[in-house]
Amino acid sequence: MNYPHIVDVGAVTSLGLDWPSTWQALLAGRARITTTADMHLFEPTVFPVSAVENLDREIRGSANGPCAGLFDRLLSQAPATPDARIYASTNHGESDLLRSFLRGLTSEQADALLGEPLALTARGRASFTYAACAGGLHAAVHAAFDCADGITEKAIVVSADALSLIETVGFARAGALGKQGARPFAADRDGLLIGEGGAGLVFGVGPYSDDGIHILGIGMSCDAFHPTDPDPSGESLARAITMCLEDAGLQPEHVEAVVAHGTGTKKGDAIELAVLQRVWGRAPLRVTSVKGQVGHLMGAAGLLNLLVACEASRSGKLPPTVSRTGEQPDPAVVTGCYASITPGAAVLCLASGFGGNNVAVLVGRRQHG
Amino acid sequence: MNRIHCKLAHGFQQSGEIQNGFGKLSDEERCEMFARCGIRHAAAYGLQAAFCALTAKAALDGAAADRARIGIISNGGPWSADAALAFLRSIDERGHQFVNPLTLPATLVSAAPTASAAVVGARAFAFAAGFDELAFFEVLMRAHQLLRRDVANHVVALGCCTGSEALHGALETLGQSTCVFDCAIGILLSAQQSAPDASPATGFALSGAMMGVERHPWPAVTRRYKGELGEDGLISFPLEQPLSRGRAFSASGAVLCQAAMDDIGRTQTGPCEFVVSCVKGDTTGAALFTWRP
Repeated sequence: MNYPHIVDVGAVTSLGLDWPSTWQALLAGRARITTTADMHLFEPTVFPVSAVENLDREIRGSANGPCAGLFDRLLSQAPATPDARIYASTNHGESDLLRSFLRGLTSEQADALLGEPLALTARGRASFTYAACAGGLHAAVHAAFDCADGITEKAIVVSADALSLIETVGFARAGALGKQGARPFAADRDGLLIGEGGAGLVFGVGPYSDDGIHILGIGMSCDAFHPTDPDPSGESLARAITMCLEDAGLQPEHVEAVVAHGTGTKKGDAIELAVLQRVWGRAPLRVTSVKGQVGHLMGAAGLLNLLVACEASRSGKLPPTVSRTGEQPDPAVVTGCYASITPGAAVLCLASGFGGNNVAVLVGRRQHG
Repeated sequence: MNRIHCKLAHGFQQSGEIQNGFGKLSDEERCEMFARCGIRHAAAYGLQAAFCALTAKAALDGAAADRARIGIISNGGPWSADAALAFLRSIDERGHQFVNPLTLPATLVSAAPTASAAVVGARAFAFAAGFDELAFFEVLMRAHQLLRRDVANHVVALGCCTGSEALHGALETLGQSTCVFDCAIGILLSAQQSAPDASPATGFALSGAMMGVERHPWPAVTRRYKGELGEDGLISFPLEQPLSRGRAFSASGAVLCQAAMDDIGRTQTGPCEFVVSCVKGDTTGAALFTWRP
């Protein structure tokens, strides 16, 4: 399958306002947890969050709110590519707008509500995909398919979500928030950490260097089980992973690492780990999740995972998962410091969303595909 | 390439002004939709999700298919805005501690396709695509792509919409008083070997769909139904169709495709190809169909 290679990446997260600073912080195992009270947000309740520093959160007359600001920053990091198609995803990008709706819309906001989401039109029309927390990875998949089909030679994929009152209160009321952040796969994990930020990458088709990281395989499925909970059997997630491996023409033992969805919830992490153990059996595997460090980026989470997988493959370093000192949640889960993997190794990234969408994407150097 | 068969489906029954999944429902009919759609807590999801589920059920009615090989793609757009508004109002009026967490999933644009997938058991994928009048062409494009790549055997492509508080509020702010139709149109797309029809060599088939800057996609095809979105939000089209009098927003492409397919079915006695397209600014959404009577 003639999938594209990754030309460039960008990010805006609580750990850094670009990808290099975010990546260095991830490798070092740093986490940034603040509270909504620190930013005078969502009062009177105080929620632990992982927030982007100095993000302008005002909506001033036009349709631009903090999520639009994240998209602006991501697109400014992308190289000028006039012929590139843009692919995008967000969960609650518009909820900033809707809070204004309750106080009366401006005409720009009304226009935005009717069909021109956020501030992407400055770069041209974007192809939007909505699949909840798997949306960003779905958008990347569609971009990869379009590149492979010859519809475009360059694709920019961006996904972002800002702190949203809807998501913060919703997850809190569902009892899904960790009391002091998220510790994915830890035995005493107690929930997720709301995060915000965005991820972006540029796909290209054509001549590539031997160091180039490519999409190797893609798989997807849907639980069709419950509005929020994953299917406890894990059948659907396993099917997405198997489809991805088959698409790449690889066996589980050819994959060295997984950047898991790993939100830090009791149920979700248990199901995901059980599926990985089922698929990989005795084959060695290193697993990580970055949600303990940057929080859950909602619609952008899957695309950030893809960036982590690409960089891990390129550099041979897999970032650790946040855990307590001395704790070993599972032998496969990387904790403490980063794990060394073979540069160019096949690395799997996963994303799952409300309603049961699962997406699996395998990346690495071409000889693995 | 294997033929991708098309079968039209409608979420509404024919009654009064309702024809072929399109029209203006009464309040009683709307309530009935919630009751029949099969989504738990359907009212929290909103009418567009109910329409999607009903249309998906109609599309798959009688189809003996492996549910793991069925996907659903619906038109994106502002359809979850009312659920999100209700959630925000609940926060304002009752406080954070008393918001019902069961209403969170409905605030997502993907709520409609995933709720529909749960109703019909579609387990290949379920997502929404696009955000404006060209969205349904993007839905068809993704469906065609995923079928060609053998990710699924069947895809239910949904074009559904209804008026909502958020939508009407936005239109009022802009000083636009156009009618917003209720629409529940779907196309079941099936890879040839999985087609539900008894005669898989006949009927409509989808040969391709696109979204881009090409003004005349598939230039060799002479039979073309080309729509154009005006500044007033209404769509001009060579056939008589309701979008010249009112709006269906991101379901518009489904209405245009249905109108064209109806015309072909009525007027063509031999096989033909035809393009259905809509132009918005410098972007064209289009689909290439074939017909074998």
